[in-house]
Amino acid sequence: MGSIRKQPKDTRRILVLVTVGILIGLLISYFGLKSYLSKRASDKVTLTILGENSSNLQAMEALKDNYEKQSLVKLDFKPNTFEDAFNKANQDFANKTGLYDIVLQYNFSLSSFVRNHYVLTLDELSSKIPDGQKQFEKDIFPNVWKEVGYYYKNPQNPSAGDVKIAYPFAANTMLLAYNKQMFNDPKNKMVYLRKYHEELEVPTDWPHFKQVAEFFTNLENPTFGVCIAGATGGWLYYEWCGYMQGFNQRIMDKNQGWEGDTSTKVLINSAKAKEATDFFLSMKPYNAGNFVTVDGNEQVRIMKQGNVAMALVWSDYIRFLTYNAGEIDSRFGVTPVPGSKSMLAGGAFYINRQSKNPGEAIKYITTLLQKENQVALMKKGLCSPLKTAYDDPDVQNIPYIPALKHSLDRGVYWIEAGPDADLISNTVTNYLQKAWNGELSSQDALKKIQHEVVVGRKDIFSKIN
Amino acid sequence: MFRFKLGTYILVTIILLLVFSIIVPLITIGGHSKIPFEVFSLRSELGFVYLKSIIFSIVSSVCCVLFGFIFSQFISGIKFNSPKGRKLIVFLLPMTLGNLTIAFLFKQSLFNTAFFSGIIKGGMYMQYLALLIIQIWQYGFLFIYLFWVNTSSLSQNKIEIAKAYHFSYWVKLRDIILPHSRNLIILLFLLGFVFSLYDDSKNQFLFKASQGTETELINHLLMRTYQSYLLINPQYASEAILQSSIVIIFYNIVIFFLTLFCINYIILLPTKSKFFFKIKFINLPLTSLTNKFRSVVPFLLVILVILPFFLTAWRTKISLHTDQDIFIAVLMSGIAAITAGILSILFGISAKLAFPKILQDFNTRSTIFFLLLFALLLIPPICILISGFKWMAWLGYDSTLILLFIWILAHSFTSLPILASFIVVNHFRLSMNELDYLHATKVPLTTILSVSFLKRFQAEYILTIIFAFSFIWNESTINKIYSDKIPSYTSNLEMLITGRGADYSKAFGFVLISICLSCCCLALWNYILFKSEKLSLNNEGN
Repeated sequence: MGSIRKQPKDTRRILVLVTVGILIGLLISYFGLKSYLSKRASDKVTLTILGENSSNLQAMEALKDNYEKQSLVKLDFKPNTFEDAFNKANQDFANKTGLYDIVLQYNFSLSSFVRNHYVLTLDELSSKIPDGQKQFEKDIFPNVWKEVGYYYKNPQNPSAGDVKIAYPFAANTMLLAYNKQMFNDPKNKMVYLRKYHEELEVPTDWPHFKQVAEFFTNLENPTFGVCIAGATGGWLYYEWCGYMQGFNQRIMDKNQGWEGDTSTKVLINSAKAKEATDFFLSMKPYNAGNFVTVDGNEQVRIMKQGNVAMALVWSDYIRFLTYNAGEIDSRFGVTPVPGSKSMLAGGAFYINRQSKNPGEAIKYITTLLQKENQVALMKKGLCSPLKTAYDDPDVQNIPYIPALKHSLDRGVYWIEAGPDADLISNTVTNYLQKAWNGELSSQDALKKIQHEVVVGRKDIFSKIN
Repeated sequence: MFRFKLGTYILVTIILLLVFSIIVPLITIGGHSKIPFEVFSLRSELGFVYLKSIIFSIVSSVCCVLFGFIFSQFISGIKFNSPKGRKLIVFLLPMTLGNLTIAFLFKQSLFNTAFFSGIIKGGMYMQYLALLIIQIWQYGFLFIYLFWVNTSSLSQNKIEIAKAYHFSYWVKLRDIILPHSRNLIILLFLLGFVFSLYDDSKNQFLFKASQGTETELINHLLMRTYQSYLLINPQYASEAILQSSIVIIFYNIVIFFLTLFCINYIILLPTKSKFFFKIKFINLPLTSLTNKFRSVVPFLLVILVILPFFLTAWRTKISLHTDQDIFIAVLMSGIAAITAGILSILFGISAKLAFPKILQDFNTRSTIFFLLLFALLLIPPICILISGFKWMAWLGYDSTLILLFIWILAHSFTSLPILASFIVVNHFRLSMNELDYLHATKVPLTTILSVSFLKRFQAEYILTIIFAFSFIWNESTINKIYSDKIPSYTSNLEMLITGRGADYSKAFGFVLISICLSCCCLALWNYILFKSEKLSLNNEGN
């Protein structure tokens, strides 16, 4: 009897199927139309730009409308996590798929990209750069450019000198961030003066750095002197390099991060390195956070709690600390790290050798590097590689600009950026975490790091050569 | 014995396509590489980390199964179609959220607390214990629900016999509940194992697992090694990882097989008539104890499920922002889920029709079947990633429609082992005798499919599609490869919780959308269950 009259559930099933069919149809139409329109617009060049999702990339994306109107070039930004951007860039280059025209990558990628002929060099692109667009080259921090955008003329023959490869998109360094409220508190000033017979000031040398950290550490409040990033992924390695710099001890005997071969001397197991490491480990009682879980993001979060006096923070994270929902967070100040030098890092614009539009790509990059655009980008968080951009009145109200400029001016190589960069970073992190946890002495840790780095480098360079 | 040849052909075709899609690119990358024999040693760094991962996976799956089974006994009195029973759908919520979302929820709940500091200071073992608890939270409640549903389907005759003969709880457990739950226990153990084996999102995001703290698991070691070797060149990086992966897969298969046999044996042990509980504790008044807590336990379990959400909401500001990408991601995941569900159902039906005798329960031969099915899940995700990039290098990125098709196919294949195994185990309820009878009486194939499969298991099939949606929405390997072309929830979430673009307020907004989607799926499942129950009651009335 039920088969004679139509069952309501049959109608509902049909309705569901029809709805699903319409949705699928809409989706296919959407993508089909998108594909059709993108083909129709092919007379309009599209530049695909891959990079880590950061304030730098977001700043560039915020300015894209102006450029698209002027140039009739469409800019298609592809933000990714750091690991994904790195993987995708390498896969695209190696598979020659030409998916990305411009890749924003950091200094440790330089060596691999150049040796494997993945990217076009500035020499190869020079004819495509309009003459009027090149003035900014004199304005780039020379040490920064050398560190993130130069490489060997002939990697098989390092003595042949170096050559410009790419323009920097960002110039990064570590800065000393401090809690202004804690330093300016009259009670703290008075107690410090009584205890140490000198004024409480933001430290400019390492002995005072430790002294101030000790002063501010009070587990009953609780307040802490420092927040040290001790996580894997390079964080501990960078912090430790900062302390090594304080004792004027490099990891290797060379002048640039990307330099090096099997004969390069590794200097990790030295008296100065031990002194620096002991100093580093001696900061443990004054440290806030769990150390091994603290990366750049967590370091900023901990500082924002308001009970930590100081931290060494990367310049591309300093904005998160000194701003809050777009407004300046006046609780925090920024100054160069103690000592007379700062470490340099950053990234460069790489143009894919398989790009169909290298001319448009280099034009876009050189336009971005004009001073007025760099100033606009700095207002949105970029750490510009251009010197004069830091003197522009429009950026003077950004709290970290003076410290950042000074640091970049005095910046030198201190962190590794060759094919062995990851090996060194992982090895240092491995043994220093053990040393921090008391499982190893500093001497043993440095010995093991030295040994593993030497052996590992031989293996890496044998695979390259 | 009836054996359906078409089913065999369909099965073999799907398996060959699966193998071809994963293995061929890997062979082209590493075909000329030699495997250095020293990597087979468990004393190497790789071996040590792998051993830790295996132990963790086994312990995690055993704990999840025990948690699920024990607590399902406490709630066994709740009827499946009761209002209380329908509320237990909330137990499925953690599983639908995915690893990254759960990592974020726990990170926010525990950030800067003395409790979390205690875990970190406690070292490797404390961190693994914390990870275990999170795994139990993620999968244990699902297992409770599935065991509870399974217990609800116990034959009324057996229950009456147990009552009539005044069986103690332990006798009932040994002779009725355990044999009835045996297949499900094994399946859930397998699922718990494969879910834990390569999961490192929680370990990474919560504890920043590292070599120095000896908290690294195998997936992180492989990814870290791969990233390091990329600085040499991608070809070398891929070859090195493939060498390590072959070793890992070999050990995985052996351990998987052995563990499966052990679990099967352990479950069967108490049910053998020669084995008899002589320990005094079986005389404890467990039943009265259970009754005391029976009303409280479901409430406590629900509180445990929703606690991390409330803690996160209390400690995190929300910033809601949506764009068309989320809508596209939902729609695409829905389409892929339906496709994956259909493929799995087709696979499950074909398998049952092709091998009705082998696939009537867990036995030696069906173990081999499941081993082959789960083989794909024993491959490290980094290999799937490398394979995916290689396919895209061959196919190109020019045609959006081809991209969509490949994306849907890739998801269908990678979710096939879990979904198909769920369906195959449910098909155990369809006896070989019934199929033989249908074949002998020359019932048309379409009728067999309609009556014996589609109508009987429609609720399970719909649940499979819901699982498929959850897996695809939260999947992070295939989605990463295509994230520049096809919006992905996990890629976008990862950008908001790690790196220079991190913004936890926006991330929580994103997570809330995912939670709402999960709730919608569960509400839909609840509605379907309610309707099908009502319909069956109406049909009985008529």
